[in-house]
Amino acid sequence: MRSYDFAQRLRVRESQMFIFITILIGVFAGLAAVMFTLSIKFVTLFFFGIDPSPLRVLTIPTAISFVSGILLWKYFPEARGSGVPQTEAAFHLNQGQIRARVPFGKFVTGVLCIGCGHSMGREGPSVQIGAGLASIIGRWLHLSPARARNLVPVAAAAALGAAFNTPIAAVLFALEEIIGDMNAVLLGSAVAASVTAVVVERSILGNNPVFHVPAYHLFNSMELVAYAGLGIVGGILSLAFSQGLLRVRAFFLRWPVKTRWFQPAVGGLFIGALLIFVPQVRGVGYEFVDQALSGSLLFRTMVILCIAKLVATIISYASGNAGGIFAPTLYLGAMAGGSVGFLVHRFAPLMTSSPGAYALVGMGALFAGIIRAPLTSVFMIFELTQDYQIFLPLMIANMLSFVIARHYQSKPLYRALLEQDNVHLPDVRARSTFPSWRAHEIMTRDFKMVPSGATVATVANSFVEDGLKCLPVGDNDSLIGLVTWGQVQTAMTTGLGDKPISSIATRNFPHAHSDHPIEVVLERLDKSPGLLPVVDRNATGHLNGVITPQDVTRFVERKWRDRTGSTAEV
Amino acid sequence: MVETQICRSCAGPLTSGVCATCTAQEAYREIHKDIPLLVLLSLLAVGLFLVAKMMANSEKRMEERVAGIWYARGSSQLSSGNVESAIGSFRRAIAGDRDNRKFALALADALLTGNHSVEAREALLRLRESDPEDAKINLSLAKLEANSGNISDALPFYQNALYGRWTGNRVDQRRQEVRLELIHLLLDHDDRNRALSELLILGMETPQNAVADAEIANLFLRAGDAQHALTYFEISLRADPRNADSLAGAGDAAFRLGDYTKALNYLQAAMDRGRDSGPPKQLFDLTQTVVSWDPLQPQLSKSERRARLLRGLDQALRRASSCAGLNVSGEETSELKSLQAEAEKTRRAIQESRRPPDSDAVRSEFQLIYQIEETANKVCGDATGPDLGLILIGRRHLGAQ
Repeated sequence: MRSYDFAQRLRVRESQMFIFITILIGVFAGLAAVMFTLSIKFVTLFFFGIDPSPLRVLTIPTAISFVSGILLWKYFPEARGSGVPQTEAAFHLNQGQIRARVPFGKFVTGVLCIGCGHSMGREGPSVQIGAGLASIIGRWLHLSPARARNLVPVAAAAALGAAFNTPIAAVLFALEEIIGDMNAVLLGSAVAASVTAVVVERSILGNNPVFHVPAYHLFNSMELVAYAGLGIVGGILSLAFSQGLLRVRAFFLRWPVKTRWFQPAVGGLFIGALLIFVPQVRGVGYEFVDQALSGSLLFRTMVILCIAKLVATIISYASGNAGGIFAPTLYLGAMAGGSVGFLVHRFAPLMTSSPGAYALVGMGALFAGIIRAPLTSVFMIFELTQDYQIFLPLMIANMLSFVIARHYQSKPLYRALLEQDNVHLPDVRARSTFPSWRAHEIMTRDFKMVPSGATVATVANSFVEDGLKCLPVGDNDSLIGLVTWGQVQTAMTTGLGDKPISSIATRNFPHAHSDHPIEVVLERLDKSPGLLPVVDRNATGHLNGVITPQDVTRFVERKWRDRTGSTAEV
Repeated sequence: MVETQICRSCAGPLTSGVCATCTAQEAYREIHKDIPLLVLLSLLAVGLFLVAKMMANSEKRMEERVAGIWYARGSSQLSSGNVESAIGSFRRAIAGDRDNRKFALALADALLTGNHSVEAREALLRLRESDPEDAKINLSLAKLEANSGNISDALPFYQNALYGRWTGNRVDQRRQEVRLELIHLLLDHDDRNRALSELLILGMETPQNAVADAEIANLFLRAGDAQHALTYFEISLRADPRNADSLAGAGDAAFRLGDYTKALNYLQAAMDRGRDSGPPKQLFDLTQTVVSWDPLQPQLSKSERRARLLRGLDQALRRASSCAGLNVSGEETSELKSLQAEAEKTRRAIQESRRPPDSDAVRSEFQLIYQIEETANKVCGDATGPDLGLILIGRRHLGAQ
């Protein structure tokens, strides 16, 4: 009886402890987000003063990006970019483990990069800082790996709630984007942490909304057509932003690795030059979003700011600076929406809302198209307006923008950015807890890798000797590509026998990850040239094993024997 | 019988060699060992909260200081006529200190000056929402609506400004200025009745002062209340008897009231003090005509009365001839011709008669002059100079007929 009581008390105590830790995480994430925001403001004023000269505008971003570039290269490589994809990777791939130096590094480099004028947001870095702090606290408290992992999205919700003052949208963002599962059991914890963080933020900064939004009215049901048009514009702009960012980033990534430390300074120089002509795109830029919402910007100004912000954000992010795309997305949406609203209002002034109302819906549309979190975007704008009337136009615009962006670019931007860094997040099938045979059970770790410098002729001999149809090419477990017997034969007949095998290897090939279920393995094996490499999610160049059709057959035979106890051949 | 094993530590029963109580206690201790760390983290959170609060306060002061600089810059830009730059500066000031009504009002005023009326209206209405009794905001809204031609919308804002809350010094004077502005607006839009009621209040509220009284008198004159206008001009002249404008105004008011002798005196005084050209001079000449040509004026000698009557007949006949020379056909023209013939007959009769006409005859003969002038007005347009003087004399004595 006594032992039963203890066990009960223990269970109660453990869950109480977790709730307390959750609230504590909310407090820390909220404080971090507030301090991050305030530090950016201090640093911006320190760097630029009230009315900076063109020379100062040009040199500050260049010089500070040079310093932050060295810090990012040497000490905090994980702090580049937004922070949201890194947090997702930590949650899905590293059991929520984030190195202790990351949140501090992100804080410093984020403040420097955004403060020196880069067109980037503070929300993404706040998420990574909050998640990093949660990971540190989880380790200090010796929480179980599962609990420590769960603290990451909880902290992300809290940090975003505090940074943007929208607790519900922050929780949805954690579920929709970080966890990728709206049915996650962490809903309660995320809500507790988010509310705590917002309470902390409001008790420090006051109950001031991020934006001063106009009262919303839907004047005429025909106006929904105009909102649909805004959704289409939003989708096209989202696509332009995502594609532009990925391509320019790919361009920077193609530069030699040893140039990484000064790439941010290159971006800084560009931004400095741009800021001389369009100072409104500096930093987070919410004051101009506010102006678009109040309808105080002219059509031409909004169009110019939209284009300039698009270019500035792409360069700032792609050149490897630390900062997010959350705020630029809203900025672009406000300017695009405001421009559309201006035109609509000009043609039918008595039948349509003000350009500010369109700017508001535009923010949601761009968020849905770029971040690909449509539910979060709807609730975020709803939280900003606190007006049910906005739901219908917002959902129409958001859905159209989302559908257009997804049709032409299937991968969400955060995921695509991670894949550029050779990190592949598990999809729904890989994350499934339904019992299934996984790739790591099927693959063979005993494989032969052809050195990339080996000649085609040498490899041809290997094919002949081993009777294989396809071989991985690479050095020290670092996969470069695949080469098939057919490719080697063709190379030999065209006189390329003395060329290195890497020159003919296929570099774009299907692959699997260890956690993929057998149905994914079979699907991809079917598309492969006879050999399916199994690579790390964290580093897709690292080869863990290979799967051939024979491996699958052997695995099924083994499983059959295990089940039936039979020694007979299948 | 199975022997129950006893735990050496707590003397509780062992299950499969394991004491459930001790295991639970151990796990309990394991969790509780983190409590000091949690307490430490809580203290750290409190410390960070205080640091963040200090940072926020410092940032707020900094933002306010920067906002103040932008406000000052905007104000100087506005005063130097650089309205668009001023708007930009005021916007930046507001971005730094949102709750500052002074900045918001300055922006609204700058927007008004820069003809950004839609945005100015929104900004002012937002400000008014938070304080509907702020007289200054109501006044700005009133001006905005008035400039946009929405007089019916402007009037309630003017009323709110008049009876709203003013801050600072010279509150009564500012109220009077608003009322004065409202009266000007009403008169510009020909709403004389409302203007008169506001003028009466303004007259009661304004302390005696030559300039203010003269201004009120002028407004009464514009509103068509010559009696009040004359009263205020005379009050003003008591304090400043040599003021040429007030003298001219008083002359005008007296003229409108038909007191031509008084009008002549005031206008003469105004002329003597330099107002000897333009409208006062024209009015003086007209008044002089009315006074010196009036044959029905009491206490005239018979010969003077006869001379004035003849002068009037000559003038009326001249006008009738010039009018008939225009060859305008119509009923009035033929009536004018018959009146002209009658007047010529009357003139000859007066000239030929050795006895001066009695007062009844003068009245009926002047009636003829008046009829000629009124008919000529219909045929040839409004009379001027001595003809107008004759009409005014006629209206004065015969108008009721």
